[in-house]
Amino acid sequence: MRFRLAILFGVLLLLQGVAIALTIASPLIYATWALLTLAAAWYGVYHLGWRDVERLARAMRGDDQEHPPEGGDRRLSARRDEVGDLARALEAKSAALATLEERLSDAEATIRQNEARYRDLFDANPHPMIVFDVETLEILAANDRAVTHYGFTRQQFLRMTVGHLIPEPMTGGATEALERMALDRERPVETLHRKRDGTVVAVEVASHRIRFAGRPAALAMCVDITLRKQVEAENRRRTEVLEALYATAREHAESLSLREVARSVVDAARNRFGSSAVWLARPVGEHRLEVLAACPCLQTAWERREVPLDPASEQAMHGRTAVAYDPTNPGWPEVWWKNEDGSDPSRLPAAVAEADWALALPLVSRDRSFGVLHVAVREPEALPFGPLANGRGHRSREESEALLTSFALQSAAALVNADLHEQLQRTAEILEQRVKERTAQLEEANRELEAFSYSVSHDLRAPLRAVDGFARLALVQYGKAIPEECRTLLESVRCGAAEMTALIHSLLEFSRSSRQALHERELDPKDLVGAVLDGLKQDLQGRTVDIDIGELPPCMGDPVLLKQVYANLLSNAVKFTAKRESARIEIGAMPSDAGTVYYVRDNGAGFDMARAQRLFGVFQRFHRSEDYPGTGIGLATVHRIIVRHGGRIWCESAPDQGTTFYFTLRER
Amino acid sequence: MSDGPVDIVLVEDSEHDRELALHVLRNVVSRDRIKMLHDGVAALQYLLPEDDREGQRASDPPRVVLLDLKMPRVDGIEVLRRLREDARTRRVPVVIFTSSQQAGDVAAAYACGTNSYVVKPVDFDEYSARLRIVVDYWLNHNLDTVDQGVSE
Repeated sequence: MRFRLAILFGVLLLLQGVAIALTIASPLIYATWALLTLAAAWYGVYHLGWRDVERLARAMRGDDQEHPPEGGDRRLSARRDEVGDLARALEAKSAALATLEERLSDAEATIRQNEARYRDLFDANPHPMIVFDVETLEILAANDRAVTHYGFTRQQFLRMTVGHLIPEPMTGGATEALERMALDRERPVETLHRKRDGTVVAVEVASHRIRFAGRPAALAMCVDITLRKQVEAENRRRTEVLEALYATAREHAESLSLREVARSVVDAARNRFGSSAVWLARPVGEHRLEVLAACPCLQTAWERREVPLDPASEQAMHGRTAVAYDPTNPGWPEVWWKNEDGSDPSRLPAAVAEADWALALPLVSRDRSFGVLHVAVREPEALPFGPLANGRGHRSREESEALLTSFALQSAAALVNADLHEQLQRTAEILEQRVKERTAQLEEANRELEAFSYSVSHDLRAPLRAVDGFARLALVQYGKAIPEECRTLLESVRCGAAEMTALIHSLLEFSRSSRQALHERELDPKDLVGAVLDGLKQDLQGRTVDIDIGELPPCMGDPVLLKQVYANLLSNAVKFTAKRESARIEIGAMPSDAGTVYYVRDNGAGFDMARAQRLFGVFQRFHRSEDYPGTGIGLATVHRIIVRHGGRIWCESAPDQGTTFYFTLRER
Repeated sequence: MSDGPVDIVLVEDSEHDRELALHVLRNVVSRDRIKMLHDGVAALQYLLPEDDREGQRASDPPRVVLLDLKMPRVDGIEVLRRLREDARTRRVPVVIFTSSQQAGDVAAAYACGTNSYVVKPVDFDEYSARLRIVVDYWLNHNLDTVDQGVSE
């Protein structure tokens, strides 16, 4: 621009110079020239700059209608003079302004977003939230839930401090308040808040520091935990009850006597189930009760005493339901208030006087009505609700009754058990006594029998000797002189005597097998078998008998008696295989669950197992004496001996197929 | 019954047993050397007399006394005890000859000083054999202490 104006002024000066020259020449020409010069100057100024400046001004004013077309715009900005500068500056500022406007609208959008988020986070939060100043404790914001929860309006909140929410007066000032609001604490704090209507509620508070409206503040979230606290208290109560019941059950389990259990019931009722006075009784006869246990706080020592049946007890036991009544009523059970000598007291026992009500609880178990439990209950003081108290709520009367009924059921079970146990013991004792007497009688009878059989056997021997002896002598001395028949008769006499001797011998053995004391020691059956077989050598002479002796493990037993067993069994085996061409006898043992089983097996005559029942009876013979002689006592003796050794004996056989005898002895 | 010196004294209360024994003993010694007594009282009277046939008795004690246990009034153990208490009969061989096999009787007999305890079998053949063996032993094999003149 400078250049152009400069040119213009130069030209004008020149022209003015010319004008002056001309003026001197002619004033008219000067005037014309001056006019022309002015016009030219005006035109030049206007076109050179004034118009564009006007355009600029318009553009600056924001008059869009006059916004020059692009071409014009470029023209202005392209100018290298002041106007061009202005135009360029204007362009730049416009661009900057446009950017700013953009940014502004972005920022506004963000702010709106944030506001929405803020509303979600704070205002719409389901838990009450407030913002408060950490220095002044003034409440700076409260969300919707805080409003509904606490009952204050938002305006009221903004006029309050945090202290207004706290029910008790604070002594610690701001520090305490901050503590209560759990500021800077790692975990939320359980505390109490007061609502607008004065209700105190339990809340869990958590706070953290923020900046709010340029001040150091804190955001506090207060979760209402009233319900949770109630549930906790309820659970705790329930647990206490269960623990009490469990502990009582254990105590009951440990005592066996009825009286002990009754006392433990009374103690538990007092100590664990909150009764102030207790007594327990069972019916005797139709109209009386026998007190089994009573707490010492009553007027007298009622234990073991009898009292008349009172209506409450009767109703409880008959209807099998708890009956509530007032213990201080003279018409009710005398146990509560009468003196020892039956007189009326001047004062009730404290425990009864303080009681609010009493309960008669039936003691029923397994459908047996055992008796009745009376408890006097004092209503517990209404404890302040809340976690800062002991968490215990106030137990209602219905709850107490229900609890005591459970307790009564449990106690009844224990009492009935103890009672049954005692009865059982008494019965057992009686039975034991009877058994003892019976055993003594049996032993006595046994002894007599054995003594009898012994003395009989013994005393029979002398006359037998005489019979045999004189018959023999007759034969010896007069044998030649007496006829053959007579000799035969005398021989028969001797035979008879011999048989009888054998019989008596067996009987003596049998009797000895029971009477003789058992001298048990470790022994090897092989030795016994060897000795027995030695003794049977004579019977085996002239016969082919194959004797197979297997492994015989050592055992505990009386050697004399067990030798008897083998002697009898083997002599039987030898005897009953007499008619076999090749007799075979096996002596052995085999293991089993019940211990070692010893056996003696022969391939002799055998017998029908159907008659095996009587095999071990005395004087039982399964074969004719012509075929196989024998006394029939041998096996009875063997049986006795085995039984005395704590073992078992049995056999297997079939006619003509041999016999096996098995026996076991006492487990070592 | 003779009152002279005898070899065998048999104390037995059963008549049958006495007879049977006699049959056997007669084949061992002559009858007059056998004294049969029917119970403990008689035995004591014979063996331990109170009167003054003492001298004879002391020098001629029997060679063996066969003593039954089960006797009425005074039983064999009591007789044995009395025999052992008295110096006259202390060393006379005594054989308890009885049907009892009870361990108690055996123990008591030996405790009271019997020389031998023999059980009477029922079978007569065995009975006579045993009796004969026993008597044979005491009369013919066993040496008397008295004969040897061994002083007290």
